[in-house]
Amino acid sequence: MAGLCVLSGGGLAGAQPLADEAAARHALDRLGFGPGPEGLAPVLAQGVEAWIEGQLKAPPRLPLGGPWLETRLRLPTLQLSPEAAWARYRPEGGDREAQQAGNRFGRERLQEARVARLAACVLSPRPLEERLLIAFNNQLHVAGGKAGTQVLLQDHVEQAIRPHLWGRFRDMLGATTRHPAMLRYLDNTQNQAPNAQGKGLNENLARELLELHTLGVHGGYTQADVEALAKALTGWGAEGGRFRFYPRRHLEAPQVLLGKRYAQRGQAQVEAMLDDLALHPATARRLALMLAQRFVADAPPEALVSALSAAYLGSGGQLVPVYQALVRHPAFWVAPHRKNKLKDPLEWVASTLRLVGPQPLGLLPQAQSLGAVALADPLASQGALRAWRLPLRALERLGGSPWSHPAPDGDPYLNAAWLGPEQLLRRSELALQLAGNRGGLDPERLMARVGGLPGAEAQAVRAAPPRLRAALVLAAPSLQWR
Amino acid sequence: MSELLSRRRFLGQLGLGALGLALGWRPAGQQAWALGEGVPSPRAARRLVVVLLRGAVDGLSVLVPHGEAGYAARRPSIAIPAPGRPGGALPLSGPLGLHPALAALHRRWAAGQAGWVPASGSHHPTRSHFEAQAMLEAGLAQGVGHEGWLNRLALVLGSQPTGRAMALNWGEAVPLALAGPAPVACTEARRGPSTEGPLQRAGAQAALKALYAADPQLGPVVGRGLAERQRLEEDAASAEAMEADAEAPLPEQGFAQDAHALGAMMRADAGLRLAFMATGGWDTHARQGASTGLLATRLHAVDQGLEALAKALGPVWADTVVVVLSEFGRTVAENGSGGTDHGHGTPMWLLGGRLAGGQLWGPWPGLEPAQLHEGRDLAVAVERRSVLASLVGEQLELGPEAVARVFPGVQGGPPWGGRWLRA
Repeated sequence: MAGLCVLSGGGLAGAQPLADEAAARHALDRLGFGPGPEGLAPVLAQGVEAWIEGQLKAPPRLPLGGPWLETRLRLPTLQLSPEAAWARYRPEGGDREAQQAGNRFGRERLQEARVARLAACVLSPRPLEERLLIAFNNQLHVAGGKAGTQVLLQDHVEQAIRPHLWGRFRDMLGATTRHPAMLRYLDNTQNQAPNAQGKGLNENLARELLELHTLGVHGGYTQADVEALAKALTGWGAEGGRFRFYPRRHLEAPQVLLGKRYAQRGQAQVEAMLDDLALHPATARRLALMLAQRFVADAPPEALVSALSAAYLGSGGQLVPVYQALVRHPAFWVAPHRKNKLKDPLEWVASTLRLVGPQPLGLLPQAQSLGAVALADPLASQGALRAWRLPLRALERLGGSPWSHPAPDGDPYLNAAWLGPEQLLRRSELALQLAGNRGGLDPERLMARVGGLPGAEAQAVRAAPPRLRAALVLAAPSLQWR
Repeated sequence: MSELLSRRRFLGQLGLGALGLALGWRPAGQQAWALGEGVPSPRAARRLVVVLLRGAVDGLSVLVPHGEAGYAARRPSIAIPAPGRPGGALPLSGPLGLHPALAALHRRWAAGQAGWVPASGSHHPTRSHFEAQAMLEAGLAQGVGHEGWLNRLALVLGSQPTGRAMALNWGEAVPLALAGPAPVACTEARRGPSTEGPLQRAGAQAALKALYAADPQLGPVVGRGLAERQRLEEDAASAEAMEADAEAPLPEQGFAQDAHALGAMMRADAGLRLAFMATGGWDTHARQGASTGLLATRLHAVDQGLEALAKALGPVWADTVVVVLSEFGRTVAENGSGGTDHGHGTPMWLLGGRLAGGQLWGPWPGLEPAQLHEGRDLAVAVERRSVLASLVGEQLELGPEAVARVFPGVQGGPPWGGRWLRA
């Protein structure tokens, strides 16, 4: 296996191996959410390459993602299946009071889903999976504000996105297009074969499927293509928490999409269209660009984007070859692409909480070390949730609360979106709140965990009043970058 | 007495911890504010407020073509009735009326302070919200860069990149319309009680400034942020002092509250010449409603907000023009879900204390099939940029070269003669 961390400096010529510590820091920052209380040691102990390979391996039999965390954190409303959740949310024949109770339930479940998302980023020993989850969940964004989506958002992430991160994008695309949350969010539950007056079609999902989920706005599709896809999608609907196809609402007719004729009947028509959309070069390019921008640079080198696109198409749409191509590409490791991405609000909050560790913040008071596979004891749910409220509220004020972006294009992930004084000052406020009243945060230990702060910053920390020092480490400029 | 107290609490909620400055550019270093910046000229400073309705509001429900033969037939469940009927449109001119939820705006029309360009927009065929909003905010002849026309306008008005912000954004993130080298102040009223923020702790601001001083990119950003928070706190305090004498009840939550607060800030600070607000929820693909319902409720909130803004500006209203925009309109015919899909032409709304209003500017293309864009949408009769260029030039007293820097490549003004403002 070719060495991964072979470059330092700006160019390829005369490349020297990246110092282990620098490589570990970059790997943790870029493929994870930064170091935790154990600092760089766990990565250095197994070696950076082995750590990365471990992150890239398909999940072990014991799921360390969503369900584990939900159980551990005892988030009660998230234990319900989508159907059961829907029954609570929209009780049959309910009166006004029952409806209001249902709405309250919906809001609680959304809040718990947000806690679960943040907790996964902070606590998971497989942070790369959480990063990829964020990336694809954003590409296939569903917002929390619309009726009928709130109770199903966590399910969308866990059933439609997560299982396919290590498989084919085509399968993820199919799962999300069938998911009740997506179908409701983009109004496809209303999309049906036109009636005698010519009314019935709703283009919303078809348009976003082409514009945002696959080809992109310049991907070469026309209004006629949007209509063709919308017609094919007629009858794709939902019943409660489940997908349901309504044959009587479906327009049975061949459609021409991007110059190809699809004469399949029933659901097979859209399935065939998705097969081709998933492997369209414009889709490949868009996925490649998205991953390159998230994991390397806002303006990634063309060679990298082409390489990722080729890995995708060459493997028939598998995603793991793309991830492998990404971490092995020299562009991933060169100096200009390290510490060049400004953390978005979720990344910054997650990495800050991870750095402090769950113990001092009371996030998981009885947990053992999370580096090992040790299971934490279940804890009193109320206490756990209370501790997450502060970071969650801060995340809202930073504009990074999951599923809060109302438009289907998802949260921005380029530096310019977050480089503003208000954003930085509010982050500093959270740092002060987190560090403020707790005795136990030692600024020197915090600095050691990240492998030290740049000289001027460390100096400023040590020169400040003692009670502010820990907060200043958390708010440090160099920790705004990853 | 209780009104006075609630007003104080409200202004406390202006978020004294939530005010700040945004920069898309990194200045070489701190400079003392030049003498004379932000000091109002002897003639009262002219202001411009831009309100963006994101999501493509249904223009045909704002300016209702009740007099068009095919209108009601193509919108069986969402058409607004003709004036005089229950839930009917408020009469304007010719075949056009105003949505009944916009009652305060109608009164301004009657007073000559409001008007519309009935069919405006961009000739670009995109029906993508994001692309169309980006183009609207960029204000270029084609394409989209990384800056917006309001930022170029701030530069042209004399704002130095290291000077005080002349433009105020109401919201957390800086939109493209305001992105660019000119500094922009950001503020947003907090919902809920505002307690003393953590940065008010002794020594916290100084320590933070020192921590960030060494970072060439982030240092100036944070430094200016702290300075601008200070300035906006002072503005809010003066606004409070002025408000303390007023008798009007405060608007409720939401857009009206924000608009009121914005007006108060602009009144308190003559240096805030430009302002931008955006609201969403306009993408009514389903169950749009007609005289009442989803869209009507939202329009009512905008109506209340614009009225609150006008009142809060007080004497500054005479020097202010408000422009309400949306990225495109919606289809003439309703769709299968009681809503409408993405369209093309849409009205521009204009208001101002000295606007030569009470009229509609520019042609109404009509709804006959041959008059529609691509057979389905209201056509664009007047290009948006040409209207804005002409309006901005007159309201802000800018010559043609200055206007051309804000809207490059605009060929002449709109096709009608006359001035936008009363003498």
